[in-house]
Amino acid sequence: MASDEGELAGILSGFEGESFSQPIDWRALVRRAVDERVAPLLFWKLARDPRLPECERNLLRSELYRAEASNLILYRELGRLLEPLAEAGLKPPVLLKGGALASSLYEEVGHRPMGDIDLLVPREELDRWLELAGKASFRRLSPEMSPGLDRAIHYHVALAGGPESEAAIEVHYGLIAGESDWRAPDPRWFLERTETWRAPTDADAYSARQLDPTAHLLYLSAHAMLQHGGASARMIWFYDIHLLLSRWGGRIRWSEALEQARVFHWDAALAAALERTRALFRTPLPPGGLEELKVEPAGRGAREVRRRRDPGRSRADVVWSELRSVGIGRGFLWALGILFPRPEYMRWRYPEAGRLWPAFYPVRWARVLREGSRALLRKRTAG
Amino acid sequence: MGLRRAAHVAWRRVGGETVVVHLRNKKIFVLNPSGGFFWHGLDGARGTEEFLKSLTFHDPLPDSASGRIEAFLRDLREADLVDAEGPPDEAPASLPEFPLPTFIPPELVWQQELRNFGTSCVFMAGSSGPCDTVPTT
Repeated sequence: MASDEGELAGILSGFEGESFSQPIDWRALVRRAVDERVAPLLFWKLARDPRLPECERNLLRSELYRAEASNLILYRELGRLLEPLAEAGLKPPVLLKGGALASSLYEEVGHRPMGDIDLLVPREELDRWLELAGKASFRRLSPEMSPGLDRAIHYHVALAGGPESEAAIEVHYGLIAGESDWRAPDPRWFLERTETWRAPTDADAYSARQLDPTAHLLYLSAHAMLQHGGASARMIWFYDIHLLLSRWGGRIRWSEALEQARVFHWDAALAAALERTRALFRTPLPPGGLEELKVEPAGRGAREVRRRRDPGRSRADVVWSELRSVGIGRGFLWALGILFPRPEYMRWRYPEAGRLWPAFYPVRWARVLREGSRALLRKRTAG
Repeated sequence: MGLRRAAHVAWRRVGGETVVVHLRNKKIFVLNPSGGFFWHGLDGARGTEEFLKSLTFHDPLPDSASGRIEAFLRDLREADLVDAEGPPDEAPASLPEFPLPTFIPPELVWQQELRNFGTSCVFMAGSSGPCDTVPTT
């Protein structure tokens, strides 16, 4: 663990005295906190600490206000999206990650910065959701690369709301990956394991649910280790897990979590996320919990977790890995989509091109070729 | 003159402070606890005079109180956070007790712009660490 990472985790979890190096490099610590999305939490922990220099104090304070304001806007837009829900006869959606946890697990909504709000809805209700969202003046954030690709490959549709379309709400009909991807679980298991969600204020009367602690632990682990990967996983995601275990740990059904992790091929992801959380925050885990997982190092899940831990992964590596995960047929469709996206997508992706957007096809192919060659070269050198 | 909180703002109490967001220009304003008290009383039926009448302390109010409240409400108007138009709420909520033992002037203690809103992966396709699973080029 890097020293500033250890110091940061130490402050957040209250054992800083043992992990602080002397003297503290406050600038590096604050920068790290911003990168790891834990700056508001750090401010909360250090607000009265006289050691924190004024400049860094103001920066952290500003991050707290920024998170408060962003989350206010996001929840307001969520309310606008959910308002007509009951009339339409749709079931309340299930909030995931930050959108659920900021108001129900954290002491203050602004302590948990969010870039967007994620909702899980039954796949068969997606069209009605999109119709409702359109009526509430939400629009799709990006066009599909090619017709039907979203349903075939992806697992959510990103919508933009807010006065300047700045608030993103992602409507998930699957989790982690598209349904043909081996990493994707059966979302129905998650839709059946929900509980009432606590809205940010009593005035927010819209109805939504959240995953129960067992399902949330599994999802948070897979999201960190299999969707994004350990190399790019933010500290805030492990702090989510830390808080979930610390505050709701008594409600986690461990035997079910371990069994289901094996069913989803998420056992390695769960083990890795728990290990990382414990290493960062000294989070107590149930005795024997990790050992019971008996992760097979050569298994598909373990290999994927290791691959995603590699900090040197290029975008070409990522895309190649995603293409392989969805299988040959759909991978081919996806590759075609990447190389020959529809005009609407090109115009959205290269707004600077104006009428010259067709000229950006060769630019795109050259980029794919360049990045692919680099990744191959890197593999050969490493091998 | 009665002022009311503008429709294009959102706010939330954070500890003793109140964070107010102007939804159009994306500016964030932070009010001190005293400012938060007056902010929550801005329902269209109150101005400086009404606020002054509602303040009851053991010690008399300082002479400057009226001017400080007026200046605060002016700051809110200048920041486009309140409207002077429109009828008051039919039944304005009664004001809670002032949150401090003595009169502390209400103030905007912090202002900043909300930059880089939304770090969603879809805003930054392929350009950042956590977004590197978005297979766009």
